[in-house]
Amino acid sequence: MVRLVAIVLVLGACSSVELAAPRIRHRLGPAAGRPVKRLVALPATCGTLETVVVRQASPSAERVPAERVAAECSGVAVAGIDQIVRAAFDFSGFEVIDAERVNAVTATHHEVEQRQQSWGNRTTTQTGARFDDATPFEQADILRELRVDAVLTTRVWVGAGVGIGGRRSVSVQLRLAAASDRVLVWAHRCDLEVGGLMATDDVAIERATRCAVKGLHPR
Amino acid sequence: MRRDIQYGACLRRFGLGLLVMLAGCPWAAPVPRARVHHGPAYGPPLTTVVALPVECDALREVCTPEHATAIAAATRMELEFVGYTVVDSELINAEMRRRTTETHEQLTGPSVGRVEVQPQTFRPPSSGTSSTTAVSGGTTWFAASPEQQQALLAALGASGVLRTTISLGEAHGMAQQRTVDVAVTLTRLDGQIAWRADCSVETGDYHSAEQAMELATHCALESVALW
Repeated sequence: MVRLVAIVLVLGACSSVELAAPRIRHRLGPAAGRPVKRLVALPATCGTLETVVVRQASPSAERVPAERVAAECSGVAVAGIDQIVRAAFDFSGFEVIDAERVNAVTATHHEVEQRQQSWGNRTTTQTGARFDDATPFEQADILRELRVDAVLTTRVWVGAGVGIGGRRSVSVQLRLAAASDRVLVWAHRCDLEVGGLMATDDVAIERATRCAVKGLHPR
Repeated sequence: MRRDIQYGACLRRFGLGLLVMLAGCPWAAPVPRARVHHGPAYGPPLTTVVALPVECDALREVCTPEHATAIAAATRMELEFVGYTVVDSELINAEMRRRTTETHEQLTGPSVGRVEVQPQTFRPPSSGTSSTTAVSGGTTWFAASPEQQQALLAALGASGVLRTTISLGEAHGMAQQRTVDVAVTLTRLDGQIAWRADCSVETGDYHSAEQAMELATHCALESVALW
């Protein structure tokens, strides 16, 4: 058993030996000359071709064979990407507005608190619409109202795993487009390979995101 | 003794036969080849395009919504990097939708009376919070009428529509391999094709379905990116 674990560990480590070096690419768009100070950051979108092994729970005690099914990017990882990217932009001197925090209309807030001596419960209901709930016309109005110069989009892609170590490529792309006409200001992208037993999708995505934000220059 | 010699000769012949058979096997995966077609509307560059969801012509268990999402991400990312402005049709609202977030908190500790004066800054301690968000109302791009869709395209400044299709052929051969074909088509708003690029990759001995999809997508897009 110990030998088997050792072999698996060695093979898992082997798969990361010949990983391709991170490839960072930068593209300037037609709007590259426009000044960008304030921007709205949209939530990252992510797609993965990774698969995970699942074993269905059987009501009888019979052993059910494991099945490989398509995985999807975890919400936590995507939220983490947003945090890393926005923090990097903030630090570089941009004024970043989180799209999730922009209300398209004024929300209604209803709060009910019930108490019995030292314990109780509170129910809060908030109804409204955010930036991403609005139509393109309304979004354009909101962007004008916020006086933002650009919109930041983040796309993440994880390729299919190859071999015992699950070697795969991960790409993160940041794209800054002018808020007024959506013309490209610049796009920044990092492609890297990950593999090995410890390289989970979340770790891979984080590494690629940190690599993608490396090229941001302080303003 | 004689039997041993015969057995050894038989084994040698079998080994030789196996070697000849294996030598005949193609060890390298076939190189994927992209096919690019310029349509009648090829010419003036399309800058802003609306990307429709990836369609998959295959069994549900072979091609899942997760696969479609992944191929959409790869396609849109690549085209954006070469200069297109890609708008995700899934994110377009034809009418504003509403979201209701309901949060339940269990409170412990002494009552603090009425807290409406500073509700956001002064709260009694709570333990156990659960929250649910429901989205209601609104109309998506797909549910909008053709007139509404045209108006939205105009508002977005879109001049084209991007379609991506994954096709998986029937399983064949001992390895039950399939041919995975990824096609990317860009049409102008009047429906005329600007360009189409596709690429086929075999699964089975060489690639899993996911690897084949990845290779076929990159192969099709590389030809686009090289223009």
